[in-house]
Amino acid sequence: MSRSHVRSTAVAASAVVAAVAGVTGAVPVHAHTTQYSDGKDVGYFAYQPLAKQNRMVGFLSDRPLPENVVTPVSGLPSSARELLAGRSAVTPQTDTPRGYKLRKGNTPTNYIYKSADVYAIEADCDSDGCRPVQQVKLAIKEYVRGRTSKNWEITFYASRYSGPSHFHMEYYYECGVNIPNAKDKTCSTWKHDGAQGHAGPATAVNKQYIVKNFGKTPVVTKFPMINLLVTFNDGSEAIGDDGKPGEKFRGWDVCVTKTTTKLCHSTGDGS
Amino acid sequence: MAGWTELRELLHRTPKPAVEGRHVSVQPRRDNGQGWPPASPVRLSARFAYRPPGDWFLDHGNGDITIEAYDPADGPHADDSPSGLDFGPQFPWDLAPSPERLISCADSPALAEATALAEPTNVRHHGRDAWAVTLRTPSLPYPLHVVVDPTAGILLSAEVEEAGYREELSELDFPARLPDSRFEWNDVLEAAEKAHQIRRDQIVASHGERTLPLPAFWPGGLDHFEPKAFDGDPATGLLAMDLYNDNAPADTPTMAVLIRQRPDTPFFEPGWVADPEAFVHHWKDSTWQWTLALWGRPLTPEELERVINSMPKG
Repeated sequence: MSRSHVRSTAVAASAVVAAVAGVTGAVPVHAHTTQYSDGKDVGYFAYQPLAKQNRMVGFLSDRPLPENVVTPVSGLPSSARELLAGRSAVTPQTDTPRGYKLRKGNTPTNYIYKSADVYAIEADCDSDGCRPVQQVKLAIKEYVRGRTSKNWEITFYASRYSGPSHFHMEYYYECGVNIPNAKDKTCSTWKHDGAQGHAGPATAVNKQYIVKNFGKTPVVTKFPMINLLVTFNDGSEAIGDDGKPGEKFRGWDVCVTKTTTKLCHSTGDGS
Repeated sequence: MAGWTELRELLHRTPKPAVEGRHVSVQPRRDNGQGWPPASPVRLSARFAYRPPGDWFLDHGNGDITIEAYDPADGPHADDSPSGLDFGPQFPWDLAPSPERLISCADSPALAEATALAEPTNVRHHGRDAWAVTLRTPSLPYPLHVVVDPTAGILLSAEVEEAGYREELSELDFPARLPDSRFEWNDVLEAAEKAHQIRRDQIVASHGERTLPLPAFWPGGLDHFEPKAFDGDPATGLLAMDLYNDNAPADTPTMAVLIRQRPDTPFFEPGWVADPEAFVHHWKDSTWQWTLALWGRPLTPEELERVINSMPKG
């Protein structure tokens, strides 16, 4: 049985729980206050799920949950455990704007990066652990057209892995500038050089691709950012490791010179 | 008569003049080491404008534009390629010809270490008086031929004949000043960009997979084909198609682009097709000229013949 505490004010406790997206179902909350010796009232609420009371949680993970097996809560990603505990996930510290991170993957050529698969998982959890209800496999591909072109194509992949086949997906696009030794910027706020700014959220389907111009400035490193937002069959959302809906994919760095554009030999990963 | 040492000093002259003109480059493509595919050099041509110390505008054609308005506040450049005229260990495949290599070449290690194989000779280069000199430099296995413009203090050309590499400047003009607007993104460029995008979108929309002229044979089978048009011109029938770029079977090319164009027109080589490391096959049928660009490996002669024979007729 899991038990956790979140330090907050009693008044805000119910609001905190209500604000935790990705968890559905009755969540018992017991709030009380304690007066410390310095006279300050400090409020607590305790989350103590009833035995065998089911809760649904939607999260994202780099591996799927096994079918027909109960996965202990300790086997879930930390962000999912945070959701189950009624806490907002901690926003990861990233150099990319708004927390986009490289999701591993590989570069089969100088022009193509394909992310590792990521799974949007809706799970039914109780005190024994979690069982997958619906799992959707996600990935992105970054295809730099190359040489003198300043365009890249981003392909979205989303397919049923287990459970109901129906789900809804939206994408949000942004273009990033990798600034050495500094916080990164977005292309459209960095320079006025024709870069297409953010796009979406807009409905996306499996293997859909978008073509974007990332700006005409050379001697710079750019990277795409894609947030894939999955809504499960029952209308709930998958929550990312930053506590917000969607998986934030950071693309591979693209090295731009005056006459050549291709993937860089190495890339920032957003960490 | 100027010696090489004096000419090299001229290349250090600063400030450089503002200059506009055309940059043309030729690079050989990689082959399989046995002369296959047949030689098909990469030829690039760009209009450019340069204003010291670091403002550049390049129009590469087909809507590809490069603009650099130098700003010291941008901090260190992320560029990992050498500046100026330089040659890497993979020469001639690992360089990216550009007018900057010829204009801002004073600090080039290749030139700093070079010695003349003969006295410079006076030449005319696209209407300009210049000096031609043949050099030996440690970074190249073959002689380097350069043409120096003594008035402007720039190179007009660089060539390694034995390697099939050449880049040169022509149509040069040295205006007294170039306005800031020449190096800024503006409404004219924005409109041209949108026009190109609309044309590309029309190409994609008008060519569903069923209407694309695709081979019926491909090494490793057609299961991984996900062909799509990505560029072209409806007015001329020009059509550029990605055949696939994902999950290619082992030992097959990892990327493939097929291009159809009118015969006897300059090769259309968008994007990585113009990368010297791409393998390129060319052929003609009764109506069209075809280019097949591949990454990873070329088709064998037998595979290429089967692909060509499997193309739709007419």
